[in-house]
Amino acid sequence: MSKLKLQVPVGTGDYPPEACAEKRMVEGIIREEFLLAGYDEIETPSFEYYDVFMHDSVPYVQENMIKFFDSRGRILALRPDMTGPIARMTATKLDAGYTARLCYVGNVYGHKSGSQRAEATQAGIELIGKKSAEADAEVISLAVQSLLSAGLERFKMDIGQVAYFKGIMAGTGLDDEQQEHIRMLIDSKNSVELEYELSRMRLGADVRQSLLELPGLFGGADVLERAGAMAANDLCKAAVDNVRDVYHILCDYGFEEYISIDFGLLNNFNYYSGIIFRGIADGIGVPLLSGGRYDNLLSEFGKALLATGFAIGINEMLAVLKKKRGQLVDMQPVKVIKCMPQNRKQAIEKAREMKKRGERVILDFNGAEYPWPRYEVIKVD
Amino acid sequence: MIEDMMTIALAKGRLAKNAIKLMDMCGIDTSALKEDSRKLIMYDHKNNIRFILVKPTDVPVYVHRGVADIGVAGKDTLLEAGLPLYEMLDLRFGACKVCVAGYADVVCGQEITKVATKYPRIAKMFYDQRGEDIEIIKLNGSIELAPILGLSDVIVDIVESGDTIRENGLSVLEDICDVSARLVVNQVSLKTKQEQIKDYIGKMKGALENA
Repeated sequence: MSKLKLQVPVGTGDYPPEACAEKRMVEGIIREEFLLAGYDEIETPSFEYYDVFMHDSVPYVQENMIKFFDSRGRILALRPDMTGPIARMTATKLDAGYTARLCYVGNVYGHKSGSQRAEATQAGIELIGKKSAEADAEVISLAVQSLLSAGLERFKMDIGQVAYFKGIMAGTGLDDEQQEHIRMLIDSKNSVELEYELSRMRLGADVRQSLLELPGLFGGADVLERAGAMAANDLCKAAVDNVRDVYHILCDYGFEEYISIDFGLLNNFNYYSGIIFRGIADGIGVPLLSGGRYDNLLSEFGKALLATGFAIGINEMLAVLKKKRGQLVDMQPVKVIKCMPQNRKQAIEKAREMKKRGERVILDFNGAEYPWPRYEVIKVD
Repeated sequence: MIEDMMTIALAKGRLAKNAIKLMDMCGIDTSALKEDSRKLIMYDHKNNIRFILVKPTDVPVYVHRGVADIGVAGKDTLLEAGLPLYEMLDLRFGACKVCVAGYADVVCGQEITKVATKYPRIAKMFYDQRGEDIEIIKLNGSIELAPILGLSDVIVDIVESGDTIRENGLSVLEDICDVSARLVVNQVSLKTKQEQIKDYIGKMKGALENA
């Protein structure tokens, strides 16, 4: 017998009943939060034309995508995230005149790399057509609320703003490659190499100083003052003001304790255009959630719409919740009606009644054993 | 308690010895690490720190996955792992270079160059940048043997003094990058254990400046 017959592909996984119940519970709680906040659920195909994911500004890595061909030789890709497909759908099928609040729970795909699964479930939202501190705060507060409702206690929402870095870079005359190198060093908080690289570039003393400060420009609300004081120009000032406004709104939600600010957070920099954020928690070394403002993506699909959103990694959520609480759900009990051919009709009738009351029922004709306590055996007259 | 404990991953061997010296200067109690034992987990209970001793190439893995908050690893190991980590301090010890070495008179570029190395990712990145096609032969030790026996045209390896290279009749053809020990921090831990980690990084910076 082939051994592969007994295995699942690398980076995928089965969800047997208990694991599936836990996954549905977490997905359900988060989905409910999204719906309560006025977001409408949508679905898109699991695979799309590769073109949906190919633009200059997107973070998709070609070699990470799982690709195949349709019958006419066109390239298809299993969706690496939901944002691209939702942008495509919004641009082609929704009325651009209003604000769209969309949410989803679905699987995303890619070749397994590092801790990244090949098939992962994400629950997320997109707020399309709005640009304001209120919109940014709405999305971040919903992210915080979702984690809280799912039962997470100790976590931080790490907030950055890429416009601050872009503001410093404006007018330096550095080419894309140099900017990318500096971005990468700041994002990895590699002050040592940053200092060395900057010393080799022709930059003004104030620009160099601002860049050198960036890796350490993280912490609580005090960071806003520090960032404001050293803002190089109006672009940087506007970026700090935006984070400050968002921070104050989040304080009104009572979420102050969950907020951490980091102006050196610069991941997926070309994709995001404003506030970016990620949810992190003790006990899991990778982010549980990531998101931000991406005002340029929709124009790739022919509609210049402003947008922000986030995606929660359900697999990461399950890992961290299980680490803290162990078993997450008790399986719902099932009633078993034992019956014989002569009282079958009564038994079927009884089962129907019980199902109407929301009970789970099995009709049993051959007297199999059912393990207590999940199964409760009931007799009919 | 364990949630607030800070876990430091150290690469077994020379890097660990230097890291211990540095930690001593920062008021960390490393006495458990100096004992001759086979324990893989050790504690500084006073400072609520846990040390784990792992294979050098595993340090970035432990830190990336968050089971260790902080790690000390060579830049070569970090480049080879290519994982997202905060690389916050250059600890300066363990200094060497990653180089291309081989016979000085070998002419490359006509056919596909065969490169023997412990660092396939670094080698690939280096030759990709130049648009040169190579075939990588992954070895785990005694890399210098490969060109001597004709297994490869060149090697990509770390070179400290260059003695091993020279004694085997090879020479350094090109430098790829400088290497030294780095302090890496898990991206989540830096924010969730901010005070503690900032405190130690500050102390280590001070100790390095005074050294």
